[in-house]
Amino acid sequence: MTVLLLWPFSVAAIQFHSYVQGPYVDVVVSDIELPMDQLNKDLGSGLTTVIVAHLTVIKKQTVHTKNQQEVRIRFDLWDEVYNVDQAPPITASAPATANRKFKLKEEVLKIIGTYRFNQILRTSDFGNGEDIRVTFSMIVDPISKDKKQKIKRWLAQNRVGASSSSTATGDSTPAAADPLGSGTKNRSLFGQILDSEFSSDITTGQWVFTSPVTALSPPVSNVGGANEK
Amino acid sequence: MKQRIRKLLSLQWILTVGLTLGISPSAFTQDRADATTATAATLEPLILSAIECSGNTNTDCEILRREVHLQVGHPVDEEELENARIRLQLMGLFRSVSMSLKKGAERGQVIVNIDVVEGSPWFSETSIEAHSKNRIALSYKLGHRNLFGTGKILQGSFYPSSVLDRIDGTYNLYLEYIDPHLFGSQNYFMKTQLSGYFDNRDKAENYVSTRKYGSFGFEFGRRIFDFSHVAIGATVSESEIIRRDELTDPFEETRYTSSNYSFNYGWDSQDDPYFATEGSTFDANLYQYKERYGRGDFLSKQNFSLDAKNSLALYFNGSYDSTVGLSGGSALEWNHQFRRGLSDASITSSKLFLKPAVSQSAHNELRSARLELGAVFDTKSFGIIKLSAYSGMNL
Repeated sequence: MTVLLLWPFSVAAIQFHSYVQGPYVDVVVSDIELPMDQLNKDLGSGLTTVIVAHLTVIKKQTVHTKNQQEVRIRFDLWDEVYNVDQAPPITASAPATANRKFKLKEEVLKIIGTYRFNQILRTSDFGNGEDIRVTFSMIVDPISKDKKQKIKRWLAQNRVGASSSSTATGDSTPAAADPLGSGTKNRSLFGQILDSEFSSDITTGQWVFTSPVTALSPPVSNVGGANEK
Repeated sequence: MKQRIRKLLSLQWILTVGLTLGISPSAFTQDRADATTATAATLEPLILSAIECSGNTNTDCEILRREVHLQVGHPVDEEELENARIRLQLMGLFRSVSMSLKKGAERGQVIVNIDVVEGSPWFSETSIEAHSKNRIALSYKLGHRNLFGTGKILQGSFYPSSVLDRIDGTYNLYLEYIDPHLFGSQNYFMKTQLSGYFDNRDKAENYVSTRKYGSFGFEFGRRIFDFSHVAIGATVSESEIIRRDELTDPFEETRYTSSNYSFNYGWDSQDDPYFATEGSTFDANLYQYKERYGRGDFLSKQNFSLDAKNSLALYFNGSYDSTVGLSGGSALEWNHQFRRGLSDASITSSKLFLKPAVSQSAHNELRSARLELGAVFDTKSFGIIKLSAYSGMNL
């Protein structure tokens, strides 16, 4: 009974699979739980939605490789198609940036819900039962460190100088603590920024997901992983 | 040391020239987004034909448009639209802000729609301070941050100390009107303040002393560089002291009028007024203060006050942080702040703080020490709540 009650609420966990490609191993990340409320709004906005996906491979408890993919999506308001740019491309033979058009949003969601990172490892890396772990992070509409500095300045523009004239009058009552009224609402975005632990130029974004560090199973022969053309 | 003096002089020089000319050096002014992003959006340039608003039931659309630094008839710069979205979010008036495009009259022409979900414009702050000598001070602040739908602030503070403390019979009332963007300007701000004070704490069987005080002040300021401001202000006040001593001096009444003119320079680069994790604040005030007893002549004196507070944030495991700072030149402040653990509960943020302070009076040899221990909570239902206890002693 308990199982039946819990089952509908269970969330599919992110999946990592590895596939042999000649002497190399590709890693496919799938079943990412996407921020659907935000994406439903963003994808049809006519503005570009940027998604950055990172895969980090950890071997012998040190970072072995880091890989990044970037997807940019813009809905054409007149042709009513989604233009999707992806870099680097999924296949080695494709141009530097792959551009595709999709009529349906579901097709776009499929693209951004699964990532294939090519030639991440060598098959020999798995020899001797080597413990290889991976972690995946995904940022929707990333905000750079440079932008963070700008945000600080914009926040300052809403402040009012905090001169406390009561001092001169000999009045002992405390001055108003917060010259702006309350900065409570300002904190949400800043909290996100300051909580971020990314070391790259990208510090945070509208939505950030980081998977737990997961052991990567030894590769199987290629079965045509997701996102491949 | 010489280098420091040179730096200070050069800063003063830049400040003077900048103020005189009414400009800020470009290196310090707000960066305007200049990027035209290389995106999927480069398929065809989109031309802005109009800016519309939705969801703004209480806020004037002009307030929203003001933050979008794009002109109708020019290409849409997505980077600038994203910047505008963040700027609007930082105003503290909206729960969420999103931008979208709609088809314009012709192909390639678009209308930018700014969709907002307005937050409550009301905010409050409650503070309870307990002193080791059985005294309890209470203060309450209530404010509206979006007056007339234009982002102006009206806030009132009430300090009814006698509610919780039978010894302290003082009442303070402050009413402030703040315009953070005077005439829509990004740089100019204005504050006016009305305050009243009533004190009848000295009560005995044959002796009563009451003091009434009222003042009106205004301040006009300009933001300079990234985080600094300068301001000039004036305050006029009138006080009345009545003493009635039935044993020695049956009745005494004193009235005096005072006025002061102030010049203020300061900066504030803290990321949050209550839960700062980085940045610093500095405040320097120069006053000319005049007072007149009854119908006598005005006596004038100059005062200079300085307040500096620097915060250094130290992070531990990303789940909490400690901050140390100097305040008022005499108080060492230590904050221990929890940010993540309570984020999903009814408390958005909280912190514990410990403030040891030693102060030396400028007028006499009196030196005192004070230790304050407290906590600040940002609650979803009751706003900011501050609880603290302190103890002080003369050294």
